[in-house]
Amino acid sequence: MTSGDLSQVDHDLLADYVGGALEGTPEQATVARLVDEDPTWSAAYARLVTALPQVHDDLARWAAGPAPEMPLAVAERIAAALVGAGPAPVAAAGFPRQPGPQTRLPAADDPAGDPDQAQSDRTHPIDDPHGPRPDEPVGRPAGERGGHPERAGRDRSRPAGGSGPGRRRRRWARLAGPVALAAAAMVGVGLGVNQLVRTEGGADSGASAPGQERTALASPFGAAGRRTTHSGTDWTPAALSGGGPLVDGPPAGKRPAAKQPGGQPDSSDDHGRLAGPGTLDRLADPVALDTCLDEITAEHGAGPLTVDVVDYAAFQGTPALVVDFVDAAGARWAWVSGPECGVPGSGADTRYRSRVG
Amino acid sequence: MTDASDLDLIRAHVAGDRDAFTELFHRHRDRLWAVALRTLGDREEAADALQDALLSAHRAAARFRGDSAVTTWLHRIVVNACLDRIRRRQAHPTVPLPDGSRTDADGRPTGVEPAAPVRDHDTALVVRQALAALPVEQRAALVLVDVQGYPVAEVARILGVAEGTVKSRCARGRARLATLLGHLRTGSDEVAPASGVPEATAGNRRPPQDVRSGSGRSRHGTVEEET
Repeated sequence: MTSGDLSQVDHDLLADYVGGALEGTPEQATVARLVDEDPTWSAAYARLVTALPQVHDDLARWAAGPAPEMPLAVAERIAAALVGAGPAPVAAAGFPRQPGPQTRLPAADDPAGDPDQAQSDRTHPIDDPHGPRPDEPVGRPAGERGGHPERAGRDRSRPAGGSGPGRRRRRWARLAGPVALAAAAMVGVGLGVNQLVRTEGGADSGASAPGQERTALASPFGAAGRRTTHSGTDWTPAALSGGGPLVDGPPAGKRPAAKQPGGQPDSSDDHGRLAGPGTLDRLADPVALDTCLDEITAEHGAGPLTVDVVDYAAFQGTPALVVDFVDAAGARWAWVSGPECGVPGSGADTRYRSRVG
Repeated sequence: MTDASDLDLIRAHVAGDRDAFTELFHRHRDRLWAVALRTLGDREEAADALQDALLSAHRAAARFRGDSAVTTWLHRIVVNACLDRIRRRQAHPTVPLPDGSRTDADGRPTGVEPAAPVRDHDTALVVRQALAALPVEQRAALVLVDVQGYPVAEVARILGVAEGTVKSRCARGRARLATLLGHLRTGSDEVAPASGVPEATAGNRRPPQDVRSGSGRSRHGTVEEET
């Protein structure tokens, strides 16, 4: 037999037959007859059934290895994103509800629609191809770094044209969805971050290390006027976008974490996590800070930024860098990044952002 | 809270309990992580997909009707997020057909999971690479059924397809793996395994180059697809 003799074998159909996928269908009898009567099909069948146990063995050996456990950093990151997403959307009241027309993310018990067709909407229920939204608390939109040349080749292997228009922005949007509506309501209340710009003498204002000062002056983020603070404040979306003072003092009910000599919050404080593995120590390095700001610039995607204040603080209980900047369009933003900001693969480690002016 | 059922946690979340969904996440995170990691083959992608999926679930929890298990619902969202990512990064899948031809000659699956702590590292690496070369639907079905061990009926609910479709995807995926892993012997040809996927076992052979696989015929009943 030559390989050319097998040209008539429908290998997919044969695989279906061997795998039991044709049970109860007319093709089952058809393939059975071919396997019995056609030498070509018989040979192909024999080879396949001989090979499949080896495939099973390979898969079984792989599966028998230690089950992957979610890395702690990933678990913390996702947990932070869920916390940042706040409570269930208001529309969720009255559980259980029937699916409404505006939300297509289905329950597993919702068989409607083609899963492949609908799945994009399931994970991307918000579609905003027009750039960042004013208020978007996020977990960490890694991989969404518009225009960053270093990231262009590692954008999750996303081929040009393969992701559809606006995909990058949709990523922002879908991550921001849970709190976007609530946060939007707070935008107009007050611009707390502006106080960070206007008010002098913050907790550690001007206390940055000499190296930081040098780098700041040389960095591209409007660093000449940039101030670094270590307020230790545990910021919330409301405080950032709703008028909570950043430099004068922490928001009501919050207090700054005690400072260690190096300016970092004390581990014995309420914000003990600040002294854990996810501290901001790394970002005290001016080079690391600039890398982080570069990631924020790329992720923001609105041209060069003029950074006015960088506050080493916390956001909703976890260590975070709170950055106040003005983008090329003149919009002022409060941006919250986690300790992994600037770490390769972590992007800006964004936790929250809000347009504040 | 730890004694609460998954459904209780979903209800609590919808009622405004800010910790309930996080508790649900921690309860199932390793299983969901395993599915995402083995489907995507890349830790960073898996983390991003999981985060996307969980935030979507968090947002849409009120629409969970409770007709199926919460874990099934979560798995479905996670798998969909993974498939979406794969589709986006694979505009031109590199899928060797049983005849050895390729849909894309220059590409190779990327983002293979870093070294994993398995007993047979070589086999694990080869299997991961071979799985990465499968069509995404076949890969997802095989990961859920053959690797994670979920019943076909459960996987059908997770994927939102008929059981016959799951069987078909698995069957065709296994057949392609047989080629990719060098197990499909021809009896006459002894050639290297398909490029990009090393042999899992020394001495295995690659199928002949001119064997053609017909496209999937129309299916009756439960079998809905495949290519």
